[in-house]
Amino acid sequence: MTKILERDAAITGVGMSAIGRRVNQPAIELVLDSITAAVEHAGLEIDDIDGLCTNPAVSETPGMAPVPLRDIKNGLGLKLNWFSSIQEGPSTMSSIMTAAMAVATGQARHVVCHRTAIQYSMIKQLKQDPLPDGSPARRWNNWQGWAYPFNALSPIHSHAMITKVRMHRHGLTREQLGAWVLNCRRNAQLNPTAMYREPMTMDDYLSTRIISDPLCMFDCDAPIDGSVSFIVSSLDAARGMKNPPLRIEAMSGAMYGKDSWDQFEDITSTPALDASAHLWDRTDLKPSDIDVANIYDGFSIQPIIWLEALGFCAPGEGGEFVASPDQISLEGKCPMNTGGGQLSGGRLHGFGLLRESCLQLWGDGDDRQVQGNPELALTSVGGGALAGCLILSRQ
Amino acid sequence: MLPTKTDLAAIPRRDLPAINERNRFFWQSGEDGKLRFTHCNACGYYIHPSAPVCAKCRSRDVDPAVVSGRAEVATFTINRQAWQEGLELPFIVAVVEIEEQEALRLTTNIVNCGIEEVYIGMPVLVVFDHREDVWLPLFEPILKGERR
Repeated sequence: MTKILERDAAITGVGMSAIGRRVNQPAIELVLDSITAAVEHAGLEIDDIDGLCTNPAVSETPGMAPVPLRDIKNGLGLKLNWFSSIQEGPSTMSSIMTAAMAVATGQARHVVCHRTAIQYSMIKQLKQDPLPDGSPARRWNNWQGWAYPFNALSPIHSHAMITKVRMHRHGLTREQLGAWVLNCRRNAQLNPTAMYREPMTMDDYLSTRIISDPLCMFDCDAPIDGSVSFIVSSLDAARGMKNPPLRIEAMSGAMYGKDSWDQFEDITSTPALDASAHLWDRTDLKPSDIDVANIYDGFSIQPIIWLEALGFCAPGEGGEFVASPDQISLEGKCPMNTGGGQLSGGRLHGFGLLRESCLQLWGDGDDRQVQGNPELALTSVGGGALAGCLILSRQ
Repeated sequence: MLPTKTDLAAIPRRDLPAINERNRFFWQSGEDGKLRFTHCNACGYYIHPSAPVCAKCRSRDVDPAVVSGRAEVATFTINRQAWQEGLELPFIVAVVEIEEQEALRLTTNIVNCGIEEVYIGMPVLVVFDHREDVWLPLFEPILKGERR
């Protein structure tokens, strides 16, 4: 069998800056805060860090990628044996996966991977400074160039359209999407750093305003400012460190179909199908072995896509799966999005989800800690043309 | 009966594609009222977004080719959020599948169509909306019995 080299890599620390809508800090300070916290959490010194990685490097989306690696390197005076800022890759998870390859090949011992965004501040600023009347249109490349000209100005449109076709083909219902949203909100109430913590009922969910049908406001995560950093260490270096190493059991960012938001062969899905299939090819574990899962939920339809792709349920049955009370709740067979997910936790582009997986494996889930001493956590990140996933195993 | 024609020019559009040498033919195709995609002369596959090579047979013998302009609504959504000032609500965003090839799709708007009338599988025909140096391919319903 192929050697699964990512098993020579482990997450050894995590740190988070202040997050939310009242942060009011420059992006570079947020990065410095999360890196400092992660290094301290891992029991390391800044001088132990010899690798640095992020994804995306730059973005047309305002506030999505505000800090170049060089500002961090120069700011902290890092002596880096390896660094990489990944522009194209299978979701923001690609920095963790690439860092794992760097430590597994001995290029570095301790790599910092950060995800930092100031989308809330930037959106606020742009609203105050709109395009003057009569000026030429803004011009867009990439996926935005295929969507924005049609006033499909948000990723919600492509996700609403996936939802619509799934309702048509599989009988997916709004109540089933609502079941996922409500599970997130219940968990968020137990998480002091979650963005939205007020109780929510199914009536609240069903009666809130539709943004792009059939998706309503509560089906969407919220832009925030914040930064999360991880320390990815070689397994050798990780042994004897402060926290039990969270070894990468398997990871994948496979993509076999077109890299596109509307040309993927199966219009009900995304490259989550490819990444999931490849993930399970790299381990003897099965979905039923997973103790806790944090599944990307920038929109409520995304976990439905991921859970079917990952094989937690059969294709077309994702809605029934998330609506069945004994599956995904904190007391369920495999508790999911235990910190509130992105929908109630805030948009940290998957790094909040990965952080929550780590906290659960380290037993640091406080009031929302999954019972039974969980050892295996699955995290998946991405929607549209992006998909990356990995399984962590506490040593 | 075809619903009242939308005045396409009145729809606010503040965002347009960045034109480059590879996509110019596509975004300006509507100047003569015809929709074109890059087409492989070797195996007949339509390549979208355009590339100088066929993803199926790897031939470099590819050229823009006119298609019928007929398509089917693969999926759609009724947008109700004013993302920008001046957007008239609601409007239909759709992904249409082009008649000539499975999974050859465009994200677009369905126009000249009531929001209650659009459905998955609806036959539609291209209609162009000219903005600056771009002809945006939009789609309108083909009504039953109508030969187009």
